[in-house]
Amino acid sequence: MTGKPTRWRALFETQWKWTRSVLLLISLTTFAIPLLSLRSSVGARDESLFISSMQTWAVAYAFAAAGVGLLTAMLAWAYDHRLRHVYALSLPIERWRYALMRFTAGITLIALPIATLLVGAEIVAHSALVPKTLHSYPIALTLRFTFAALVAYSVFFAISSATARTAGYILAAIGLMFALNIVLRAAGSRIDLPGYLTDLFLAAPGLLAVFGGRWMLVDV
Amino acid sequence: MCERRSWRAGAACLVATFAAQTALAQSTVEYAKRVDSLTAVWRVAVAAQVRADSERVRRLPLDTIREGNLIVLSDSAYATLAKATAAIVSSELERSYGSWAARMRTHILVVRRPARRWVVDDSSTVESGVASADGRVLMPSSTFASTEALSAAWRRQAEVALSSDLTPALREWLGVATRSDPVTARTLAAGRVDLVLSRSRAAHDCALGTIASCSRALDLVAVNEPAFTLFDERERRDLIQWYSFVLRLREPSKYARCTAGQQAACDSLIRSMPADVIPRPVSPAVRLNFVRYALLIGGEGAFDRLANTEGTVADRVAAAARMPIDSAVTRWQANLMSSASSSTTMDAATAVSSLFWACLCGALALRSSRWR
Repeated sequence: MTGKPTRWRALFETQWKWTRSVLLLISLTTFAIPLLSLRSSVGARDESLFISSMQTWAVAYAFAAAGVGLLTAMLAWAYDHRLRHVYALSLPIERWRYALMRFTAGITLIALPIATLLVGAEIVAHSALVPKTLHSYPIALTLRFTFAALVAYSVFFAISSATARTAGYILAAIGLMFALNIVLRAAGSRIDLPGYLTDLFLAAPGLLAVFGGRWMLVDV
Repeated sequence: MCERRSWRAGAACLVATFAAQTALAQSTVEYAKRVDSLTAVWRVAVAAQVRADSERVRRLPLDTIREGNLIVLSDSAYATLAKATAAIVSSELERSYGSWAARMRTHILVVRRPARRWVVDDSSTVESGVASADGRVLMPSSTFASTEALSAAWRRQAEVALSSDLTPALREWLGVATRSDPVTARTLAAGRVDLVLSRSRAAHDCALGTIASCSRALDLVAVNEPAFTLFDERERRDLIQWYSFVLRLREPSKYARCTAGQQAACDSLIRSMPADVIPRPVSPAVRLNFVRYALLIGGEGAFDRLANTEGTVADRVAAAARMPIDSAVTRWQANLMSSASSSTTMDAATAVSSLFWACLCGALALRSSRWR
């Protein structure tokens, strides 16, 4: 253990300073969601309605995971963009190594809201308010949240680190796809390009498939 | 908006009136004649179609294939397929139903060319079913012309046919056809979901471990006033709500008092309902699950004992399980509620695909050329 912090730790500490207020707010939210879902479900007339009520909170978990990923990734690059990468350019390291350190530092920061979600979910799992005939799955829910946050973080990190030209290419590709779809339709083709693209992203094993499906903290 | 609509409707009426006035009487007669002649042609065509269909139904395939307990009438073109499939299905039925599977000799299976095809020379699909005594094909289904697809269709048809031979009391109690696929821990555990999500107090108590409630929920013992024994007050109110369309007409004053919160009126309404409209506390899936468990622990000849034992349903199930009915219920409940539960929230495929996408996006970020 030396007194001088490593380069990664220095980057991590600066990222922590930039993101801590947002992270603490999201951590509080992820801690609260399981408790709020339980509170809203207690008093359900039967097990089926209890599960349905818990299931309605799935969207909150998915939004929280997407929010964690988005904010952590955007804030990781915010100061670099604002200062035109002067700090990064002044460091005697390759660009990819710098980006990797930022990437891993962000992943480490995501652990905080994940941990608070686990604590909240465990409290619900051990609560006497959950019907005895049902099972709680705090670990499975936390794992899903972890993977969803990781995917969101990676996607937004890649977008944030890209150039304006790359963003232009992506937008042009989307526009081209829609134009091609119109041409194919006009030619009488039954090929549904936007449908295929939606499936590619949302259906398993698509990029955003982890956000869909069942986020069940309590199940049969 | 309304004004505009009424204006349009008025204009449409006006146009229709003028159009009718301009039609000549001669034209009307001419059109009537044409319609009459078209109707006559249509009637002839329909009669021909009906005749063709009934002839086709009566013309069952001629090739007879015998394999184990199965007798199959097959078109010559499908004889090889039918023989191979019958060999598979016959052994499966014998394993699941024991000597009861021999009853399939009275239920003749059919495989033939489908009635309608999208492509004339398409031989990828076949029609299968069970031949009735009057030569019709019951439970017709169209499947791919492969042993896997045809055996799945025949299994389903054989399950229904063999279940239809059970005594009416047992058949009515079960509510569904028995299954021929092997009983596994997974299929038995699926019954837990059905039991836990049943909307009756008896089922709920059964899930919590009250064995007497299990017997009542499974309808193995006679129950006095089932609506009061098997359902709680809230569930009975749901029942009244469900039948409100009848009750509010037949017993208006009682219904009004019940909806106003008078429990005595609600109880009276419930008592006025015929016994056969009171729903069963658990779904047929739960009863089938119990029977399948009894057959599993009963071992050799279990289905024969279930089908052939004289007595009540409870007696039959006890004979199949080779133990007193209370013991069978106790073991079933313990097995059901202790079966491994698994979360549907997370699976390995989601984890792997998420990791893949995260790594891919991370790698793209590292390759970005913002300040190169």
